[in-house]
Amino acid sequence: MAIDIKADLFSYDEKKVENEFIELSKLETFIKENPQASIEELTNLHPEIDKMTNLSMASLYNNTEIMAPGKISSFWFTFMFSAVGTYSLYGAVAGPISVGVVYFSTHKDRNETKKALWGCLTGTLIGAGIKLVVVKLM
Amino acid sequence: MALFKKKSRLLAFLTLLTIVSFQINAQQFHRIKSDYSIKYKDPQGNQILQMGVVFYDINSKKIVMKNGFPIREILVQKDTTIYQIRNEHLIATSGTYAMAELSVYHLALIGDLNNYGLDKAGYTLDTLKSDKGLILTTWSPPKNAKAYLGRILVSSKDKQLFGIVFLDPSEKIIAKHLFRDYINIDGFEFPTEILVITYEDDKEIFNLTKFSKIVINGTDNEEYYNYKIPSN
Repeated sequence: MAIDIKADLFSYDEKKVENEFIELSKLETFIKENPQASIEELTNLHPEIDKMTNLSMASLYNNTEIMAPGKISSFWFTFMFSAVGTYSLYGAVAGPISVGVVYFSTHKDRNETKKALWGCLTGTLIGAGIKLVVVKLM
Repeated sequence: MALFKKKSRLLAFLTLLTIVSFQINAQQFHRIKSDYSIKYKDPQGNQILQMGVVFYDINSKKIVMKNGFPIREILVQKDTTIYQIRNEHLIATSGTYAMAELSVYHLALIGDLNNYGLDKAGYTLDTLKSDKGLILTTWSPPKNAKAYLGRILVSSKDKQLFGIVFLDPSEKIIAKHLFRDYINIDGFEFPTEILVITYEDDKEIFNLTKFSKIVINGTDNEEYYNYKIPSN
């Protein structure tokens, strides 16, 4: 059923919005007044700040694709090297090296390095698992 | 015959005057710079604050956000792509649905903010009425998009965009955008607060953007108005 357009549709609870951001507004004022404030000072004012310090504006948008070398996602980049490297054994160091590559190519982005580490771990386990099965079968 | 000639000349003069005044108006405001703060909650419920400076030039058509807190980085929107740049290196790209040319910056600079550029986006004006001091209009999406886009309801007050309500095809409210506290700089009008309310599972999610220190047609910071996206 079609909504009838009326002025009330454009109303909102002003108090609710104010209350929602009361802590962030204090933080914003503090940063504006103290642009050189240290992270410790900011943490004292807003203990939750560590949760936002690694958050990019890009998180507001969809479909972020971090560019690990070859424009492959950081997880799959290290997964690939770790799995193949561990399977061939001689290349077991390929995983840690690929994590290093992601770390530097994304300019030390913590989130991407974390994804790369998970990719390395998963790839290593899967590569080693396949190797074990193949050795046992032979 | 003489009267006809006189009328023709008058008509030609008025037409010329309209064209010239339109061009003057169109060229009057061409770039905007402003400090911004954005407050929102991420999907995990963490409260997030982003602060920085935004640049927009209607010729380069790039929204350049020089973020200062919590992360120093530059985000550039060109068309529907977002480029994320740190230490002068491109580290990521993202997609967005809204064109830079349908942004509040572009529309305000060309003086087309009052209907949010919906006519240019292919929407059709359905109804117009007034209620409690607001001028209310309803807009229908293009025919070929009606399956996934709903109507848009727009309100304006004193010839300024006041709010937009987005509906899904089943007429359920999915979001409201509210434009508050307009500033007037030499005839350029711009909202200093934009509140976005999105509705998910009957929950209201707020996103509040505030603008301050607005500069129109600035001549400094040329490198940001025409930001060159690094190719790495």
